[in-house]
Amino acid sequence: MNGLNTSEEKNLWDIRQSAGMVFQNPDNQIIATVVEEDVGFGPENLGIPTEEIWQRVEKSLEAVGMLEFRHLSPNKLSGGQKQRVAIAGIMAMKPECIVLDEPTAMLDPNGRKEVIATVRELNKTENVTVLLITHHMDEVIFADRVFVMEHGHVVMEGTPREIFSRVEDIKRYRMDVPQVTELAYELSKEGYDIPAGLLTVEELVAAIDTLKKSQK
Amino acid sequence: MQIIFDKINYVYSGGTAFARHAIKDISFSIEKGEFIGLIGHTGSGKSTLIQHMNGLIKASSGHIYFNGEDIYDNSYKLKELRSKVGLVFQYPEHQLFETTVFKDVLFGPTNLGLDKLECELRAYEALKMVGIGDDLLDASPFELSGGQKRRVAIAGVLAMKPEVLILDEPTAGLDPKGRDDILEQIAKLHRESGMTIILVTHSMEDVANYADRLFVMNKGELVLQHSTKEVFAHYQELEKMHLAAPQVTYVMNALKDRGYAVTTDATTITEAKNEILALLRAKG
Ligand SMILES: Nc1ncnc2c1ncn2[C@@H]1O[C@H](COP(=O)(O)OP(=O)(O)O)[C@@H](O)[C@H]1O
Ligand SMILES: [Mg+2]
Repeated sequence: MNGLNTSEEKNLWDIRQSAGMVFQNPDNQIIATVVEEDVGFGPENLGIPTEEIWQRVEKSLEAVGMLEFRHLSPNKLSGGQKQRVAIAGIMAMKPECIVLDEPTAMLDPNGRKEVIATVRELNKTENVTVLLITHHMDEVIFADRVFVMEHGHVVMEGTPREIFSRVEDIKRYRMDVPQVTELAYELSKEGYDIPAGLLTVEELVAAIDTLKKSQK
Repeated sequence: MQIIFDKINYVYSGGTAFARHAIKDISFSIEKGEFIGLIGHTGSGKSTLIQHMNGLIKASSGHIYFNGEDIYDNSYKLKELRSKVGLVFQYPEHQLFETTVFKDVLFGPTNLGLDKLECELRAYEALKMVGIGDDLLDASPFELSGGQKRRVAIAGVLAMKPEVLILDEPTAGLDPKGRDDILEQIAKLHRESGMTIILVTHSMEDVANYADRLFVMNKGELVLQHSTKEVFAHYQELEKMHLAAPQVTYVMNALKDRGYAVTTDATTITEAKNEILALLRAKG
């Protein structure tokens, strides 16, 4: 991490400050009884002066779209909202990197969308490095790079398009590809000229459109 | 077993300032051997609804009939109902507590008061049904993977030989392999033993692949109850309820919008593939 070796104990404090973690269960990451206090907890632990803590809390809650809930009790929030508060708590420590370990596994489709949109936004606007662990392939398509792990090894690495153009390999690891990717792959197996690794509905529809027009 | 709900309402903490009308005027009937998908946003009332089905919670108003009998009649044996309707809770693995896998699955049938041999036979059979091998019988449930734990929990319910199996988000948090394994086992039970299945899920792809009919809950009301295809044809309405259709349904609709003569009711990859192949093979 930034040239610091994680196996050296003396580095751990600095490393933990630059990389925050968000976990799967929205219900056991929030400690405080008021949203804004929870977000302020991290910077307070870092010994940040009070005034700056409040600035950071406000900015982080704003960044995850939760500012209007600042005075509420976390148990009044939905799963997706709780995860966004957990992410704000990490952002308030100004990390360079956020690791999210299946943050959407326990959420409904709407909560999943909220969390993924929030994380993408932070990546773009705050320039934090994001490492997202997920079982949902439709969340993977937004990544710059993808790693596939199996039995403790990285077995595939590449852009989403590169990874998802290898449908057979992915299936061999008992993983999934997005539904459109699989549909495109099935069509290409029938002999149609459809590019490998299509990721969205629009891309597949455009590919079929091109084929149809070339038939004329 | 046929199930009828007639205008069921349920209010949590009724009569207090915290009263919450969780499900409202729910009516439907389910025939023996159906595979029902139950979908709806978080908090829409799915878990509350299904807990009525084995008498775990009692409706604030309305009637429930199993095979024509009103389960709220004084003479009705609720205890029997619990053995006929198996309910697998959300995150059921949190409820494993015995020292071995086998003992955990034995718990249910033992509680029904069956003799020891019958209980053990049922436990073996149930574990086999969910694909847990003999090598794991004496393992501690806590040493298993997430997907295995969940299958053990499902076996615990199957060992009671229910006629109706209700699963509350059985694949949440599992990896694609764990998810497919569990769904395949459930589909097999449905096919081979004609068990009625009610599957609560957030995955539209899963219900598209397996369910005959879909029940859609929104804010405590049952707003749609049609065949899977008909429900997904209403994808714009579903989106307003924070739901969606499977991705392939959107592909077919987008093709149609571009002026291609395709049907839009495909909900699985195979259906969409066949429809698009027909389009590609057609001249012009
Ligand atoms: N034990 C409870 N006490 C009070 N309200 C509850 C309880 N359980 C659920 N609710 C409320 O009832 C509504 C329906 O919840 P639930 O049936 O769990 O929905 P779903 O399973 O669709 O997410 C929600 O508004 C929820 O907050
Ligand atoms: Mg629920």
